[in-house]
Amino acid sequence: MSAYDVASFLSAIEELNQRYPPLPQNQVKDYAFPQVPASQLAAESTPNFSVRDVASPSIQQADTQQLRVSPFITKENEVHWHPRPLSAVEIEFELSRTRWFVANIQELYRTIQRFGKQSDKGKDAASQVRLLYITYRRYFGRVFRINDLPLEILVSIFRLIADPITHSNLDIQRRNAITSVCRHWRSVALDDGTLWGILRFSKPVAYEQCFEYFKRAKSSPLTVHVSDTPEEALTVETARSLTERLFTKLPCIRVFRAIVQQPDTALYFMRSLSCIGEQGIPTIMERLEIIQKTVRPAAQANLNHQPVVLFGGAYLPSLRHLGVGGLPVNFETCVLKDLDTLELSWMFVGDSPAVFQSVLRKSPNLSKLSLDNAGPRSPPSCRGPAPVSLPRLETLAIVNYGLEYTLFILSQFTAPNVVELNLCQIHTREPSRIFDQLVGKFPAVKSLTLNCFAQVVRLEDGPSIAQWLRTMPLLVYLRLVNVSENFLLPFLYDAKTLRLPTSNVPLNIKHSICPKLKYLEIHYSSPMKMPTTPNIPNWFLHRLTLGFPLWKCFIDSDTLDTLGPDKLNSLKEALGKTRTSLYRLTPSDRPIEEQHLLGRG
Amino acid sequence: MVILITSDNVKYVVEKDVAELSVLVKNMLEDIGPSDEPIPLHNVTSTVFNKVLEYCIYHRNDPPPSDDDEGCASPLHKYLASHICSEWDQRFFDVDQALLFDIILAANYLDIKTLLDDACKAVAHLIQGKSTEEIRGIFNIVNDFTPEEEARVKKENVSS
Repeated sequence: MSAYDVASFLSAIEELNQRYPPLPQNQVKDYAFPQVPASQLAAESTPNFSVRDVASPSIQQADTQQLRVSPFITKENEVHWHPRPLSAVEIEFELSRTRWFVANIQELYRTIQRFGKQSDKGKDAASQVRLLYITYRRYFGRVFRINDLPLEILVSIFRLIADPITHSNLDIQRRNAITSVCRHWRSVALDDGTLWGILRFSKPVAYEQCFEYFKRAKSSPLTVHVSDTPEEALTVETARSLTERLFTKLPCIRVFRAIVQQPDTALYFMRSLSCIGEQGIPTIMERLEIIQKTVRPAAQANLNHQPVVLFGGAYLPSLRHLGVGGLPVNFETCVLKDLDTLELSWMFVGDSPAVFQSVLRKSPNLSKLSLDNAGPRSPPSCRGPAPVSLPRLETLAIVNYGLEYTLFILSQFTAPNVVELNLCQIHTREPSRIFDQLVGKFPAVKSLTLNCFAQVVRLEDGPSIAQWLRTMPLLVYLRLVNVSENFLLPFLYDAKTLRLPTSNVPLNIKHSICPKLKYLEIHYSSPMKMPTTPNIPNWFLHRLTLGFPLWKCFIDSDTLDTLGPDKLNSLKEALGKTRTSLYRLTPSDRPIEEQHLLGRG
Repeated sequence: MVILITSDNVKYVVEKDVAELSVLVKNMLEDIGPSDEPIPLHNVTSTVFNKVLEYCIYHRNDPPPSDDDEGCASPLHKYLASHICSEWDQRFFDVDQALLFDIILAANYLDIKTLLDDACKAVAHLIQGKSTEEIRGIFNIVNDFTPEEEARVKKENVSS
C-alpha cells in the first residue's frame, strides 16, 4: 500500500469511528469453516478405518460454494446494515479497507508459500487468511457498482443466481428475490426471457405461476417438465388444458418431459405432439421424454392401443434425446435419426428385430442406450441379421429381461467402447450362458453395475465369470446390488488358468483379473442380506495378497445396518489391513469417484 | 508477437495466442492481416490490462468455451458446471471493488468469455441463496418500490 493509501485509510477510519461506532467484534462467531469433503480427506491423508459418509458431488459443490459465500456476510451484519446513499468519504473508506485486506491476504499467502501449508506458520497464516476473507467479503458488495454494469452483464449474473437449470423451489425463491430488490433489477429480470424458460408443472395450484413465467419467457427456448403424484394424478382433461396453452409456443419448446401416472394422460401428450408433423410446425425440440409410471400390468394393457407415430411422422433434426416408457409407438413409420440418447422402457420396439435394428442403425452416434423390458415384439429363435455397430455407445443399461431375451438383445449390436455397463433384473437360473455371451463384448468397461443379476451364481460358474471379467481389463468401479458373494470369487482367479492361484503370492499383471479395480460398492436389500460369512472381508485381503488392493469400499446405510457389530468390526479390520477406506453410502448417492472416472465429475 | 496499446498509452508486446483469447483482438488481427501496427485498446487502462493479461497468460492453454446456444442460459451453466474455480482463479478476483468492476467491463469490451463468466460468477456468489433484504444489504441497494408496488410484487411471489 502506498503512504497515501494508509493515510487516507486511517483518517477515514477515525472519522467513521466517530460517526458510526464499530460493530462488536464477535460477528465472526457465526462463521462455520468449510468442511473438507470426506473423499478429499481420504485422498490426502492416511485412511482411518471408521465408516465415513460418502462425498457426493452435491456435497463437494456445497463446500466450494460455502468457501466463497458464507464468510462474506453474516446474518448479524445484514441486520445491522440499512442501505443508504454513501458519502464520498465512506466510499473511499470501503475501497481503502478492501485494498488493505487484499494486501494482507496476499502477504499471508506468501507466508504460506514460503513455510508450507503443513508448517505451524503456514497453518497460522491459513487461518488468518480465512478470517480476513470473512471481513473482506462482508463489506465488498457495499461499494461495488453493480447497478452501473451493462444490462447484459447484470443479466448474466442473474442467470447464475437463479440457476434455471434445476428450477427447484429454491430456484423459484431466488428468481423472486431478484425481481423484488429494486425497480431496476425487476425490470432487467423480467425483460430477460431466458431467466424464465424452465417450467415445472407439478401441482395444478401452481400452474398459474408457471404460466406467468411462460409469458415472461417470451420467445426464449423452453424446458417443460410435467409430473404428478399417485394421490393427484394428472387427468387427460387437465393435460389438454395444459397443452392448449403450452403448445402456443410449441416451436420454442426445447425439452419436453412428462412423467405421469395415468397411461391415457401420457398417451395424450404423445398424440398431441403429432401436430408437429400434421401442421408442419417448426420446432427446436432436442429432448422428449414421455413416461407413464403406472403399475406394469396397466402398462402392458396400454400397449394394445393403436401405436402412435411420433411427431405425426415428421423428422426433427434437432432431436437428440428420446425417452419413452410404457407407451405404444409405431417405430416402423417414425422418423428417428441421429439420436445420442435412447431410453425405452416397457414397450415394443417394432414387431420384428429388423425394425429394432433399423432404429439403432439410424443413430450411429448413440452414446447412451437404456432398454428396460423393451425390444421387438417377437424376437426370432435364431440370431437373425448381423449386429448393428454402435461405436460411440458409452453407457448401456439392459434391464428386466429373461435369459433368452437378454441373449437376443446382446446379439443385436456391437458396442466396443461402452465404459458404463448396467445389467439389472436379469431373470435367469443359468447366468453362465449370459457370461459366455458377454466375453470380449465390452472391453472398455470402467464401471460395471450388476443389480439383481446373477443372484444364483454358483461356485461352478466361476470360470465363466472369470473368462468374461478378464476381457474387461479396464474395470475400476464395481457396483453389486443383491448379487451373490460367489460373483466376487473369480476376481481372485489366475486369468490364464481360470482357477484360483496355487500359491499365495502376488500375481503378474498379465495373470490378474481386472487389475485396475479400485472401488467396490455393495447394496443388499430384502429379501437378500449381506452375507455374514468372512468371505467378503477375506476377498479384500486376497486382492491385497495378489497385489491388487482396493482403495475404497462403499456400502449403503441399510446394508451396513444389517451387519451386527461383530461382522462390521471384522469387515473394518480386514479393510484396515488392506488400507481400503470404508464409506457409508446414503440412498441416491453416486460417489464422485465413479463420476470422475466416467468424465462427469 | 502482437503489440497492444492501452488507453493510457502503455505498450504491451504479447504472444499471439495469449492476445487472441480476446475475440476483439483476434478479429482485429484478422482484419488487418500480417502487420507490426500496434492495436489500440481504447477502453482499457494499463492497470486493468495488467490483470487481464495475467488471466490470459494463466489460461492460454484452456480449451475454448463452447459457443453453442448463444443467448440462452444453458451454455453458461454447462461451463460453470464443468468449471470449478481453481484456487488461482479465486485468488485472481481478490481485488478491490473498482478493479473488479473494471475487469468486468474490460472482459466485455475485449470479448474474453471465460474471464467475463468467472468475474460474473465472483459477483453472483455474493448473492446466491440470499433473500431480497439480504441482497439489498450486500449491495447497498435502496428499496425504491412504492408501497403499492412492493405489495404487488410480494403478492405475486407468494402465489408461487
